[in-house]
Amino acid sequence: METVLLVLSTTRESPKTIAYALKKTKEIKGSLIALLVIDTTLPASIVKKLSESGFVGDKPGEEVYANILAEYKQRGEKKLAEIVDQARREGVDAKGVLREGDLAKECLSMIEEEKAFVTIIGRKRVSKLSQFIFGSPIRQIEQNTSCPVEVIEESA
Amino acid sequence: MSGNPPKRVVIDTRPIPMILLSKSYRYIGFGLLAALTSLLLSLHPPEGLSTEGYRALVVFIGCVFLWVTQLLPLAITGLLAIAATPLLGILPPRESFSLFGNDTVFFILGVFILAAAMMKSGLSTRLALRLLRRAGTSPKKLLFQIMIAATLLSFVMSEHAVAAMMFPIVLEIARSLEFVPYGGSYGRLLFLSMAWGCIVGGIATLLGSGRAVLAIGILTEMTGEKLSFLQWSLAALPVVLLMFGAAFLLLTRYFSIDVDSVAEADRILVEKVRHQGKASPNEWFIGTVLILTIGLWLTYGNRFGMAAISILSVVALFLFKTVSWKDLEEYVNWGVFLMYGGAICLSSVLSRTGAGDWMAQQLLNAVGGNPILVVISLTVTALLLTEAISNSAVVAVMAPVAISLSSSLALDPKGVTLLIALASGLGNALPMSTPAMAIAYSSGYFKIQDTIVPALLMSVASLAALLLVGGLWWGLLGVRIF
Repeated sequence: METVLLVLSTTRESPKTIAYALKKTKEIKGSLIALLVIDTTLPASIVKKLSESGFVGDKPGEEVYANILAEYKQRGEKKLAEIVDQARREGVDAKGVLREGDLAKECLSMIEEEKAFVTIIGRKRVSKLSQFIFGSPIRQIEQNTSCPVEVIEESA
Repeated sequence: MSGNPPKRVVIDTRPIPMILLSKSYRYIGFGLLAALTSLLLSLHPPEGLSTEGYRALVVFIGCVFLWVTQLLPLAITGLLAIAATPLLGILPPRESFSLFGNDTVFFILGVFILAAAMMKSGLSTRLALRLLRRAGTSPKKLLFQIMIAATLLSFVMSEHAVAAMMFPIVLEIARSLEFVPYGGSYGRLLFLSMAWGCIVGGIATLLGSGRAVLAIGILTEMTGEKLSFLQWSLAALPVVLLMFGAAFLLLTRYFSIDVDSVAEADRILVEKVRHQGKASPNEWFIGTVLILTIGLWLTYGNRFGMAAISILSVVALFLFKTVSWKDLEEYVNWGVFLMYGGAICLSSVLSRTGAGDWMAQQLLNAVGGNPILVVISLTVTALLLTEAISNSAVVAVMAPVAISLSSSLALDPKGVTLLIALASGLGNALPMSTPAMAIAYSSGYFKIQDTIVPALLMSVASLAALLLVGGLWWGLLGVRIF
């Protein structure tokens, strides 16, 4: 059975992308894997700010980091459970996977591990300049795998 | 043959110049700074400025660059300032390093250790929960209590630490009310009340943030004048009251309260208070030491020195084993002493070499010498800068310039110092303005654009409150702003 990989993150989880992934999975009569990557960049930058600008010790910083990650994980698990439930209601075989780290790296690992047939990911509206300076995880995924990547414009 | 699986390599697909720039911007920045510094040092000093004064000015410009860009941690830039002074022959090594032994640095040491004891013992969380518990089931009252808890706790410990301590409590409240990120207005209000409470409360006393102490340290080094704990608190409290009212009104008018009851949050808070049980002997002892210390600062601060009282309290904490050295290592960031020591050393060097006065004169020649306009411009600049860079960096950068200007314009340096230090604490729009806003932003309940308009209005309110209180009230305390 072919595997459809739906890629979500802390800030990238539009209903439009999820609906498309479900539709696609049904069309090819495959199974769905919903991967939600928790981006640790924001909590890490807050700990750095607390330490370097706020001169707060390591312990309160670590506690803040743990609290933010725990919150993101809880939200992520809830979101994945909703997607899996919805998929099962629609007769689609599905499972959810939660990971922490870099979106592109985790997505590429998952494509390899699960031998994904197609990868579906949402794209937020970001300016060309921002993409030029900071790069785009979607472009990194596209250029580092032979698995087809379908990009859904979240704001469209 | 077995082994670890090969690590996945992800090819960076950005244009090569952008990749190179992102990997090397720090070195490019340093290279440019070094080249510019060498060029400036090879030039002759301008008329009216001694060689030492000119070199001190170059060091100041370099430190401003580093404090603003944060190419180095703030503390390391502070150390660099101290090292550059003897290296460039501005002051002899013994004199340069002795400037680090300022009593302000030791006062801050005691303040941070007291706050660490409060956090470690759980006293700060207990106080926060007691204050929050009074909210009952009214959504508006809960917001008020969150804000007042954050404000009052920031009177006695660092506002950044208060935000770190209160964040999980507010997160749990939001969770109990089953909010989803960006899902409603009340979620935003919860986190903004916490952050703005910390920001407003953090300017009230010398304990809410180190920047007030840093500003006084710079004032004393440059002019010999002092502001006591009592004077500072009396000057700042009316501003705090006005800003608290403005913040609460603005938040509750700008964002709608879209829930009818917070009964579930109340239930959780009651449960948390019950779970905490009675205060431990440690908490009682630390609370008593804190109250006694503040009492001594208020009454005998001038006579015995704030630092001596501060250190005495630390000794009492250790004598009764309420904190250990390991606790301090976990809760205190020692970088604060390096940054403040370096900033005070630099301001003293600017003053001693005449560089501060020269710089002030050049600024006045360029922009004119209307004292009212200068005071307003300095306050507005501090309010704007603090939205983008660290509050302490704003004080380190602006206080030496402002104090030098005040002497050229016959303004009261104490008034100018108060304005700069208070304004630098009132940044409340962007996550990079202060750790409290960054922590609130990480909750995911609001976006940056949600806060721009209310924060802009708060900045206008801050300017009005500072000028109003400064003009009408500070005079009674012997401090003038015009």
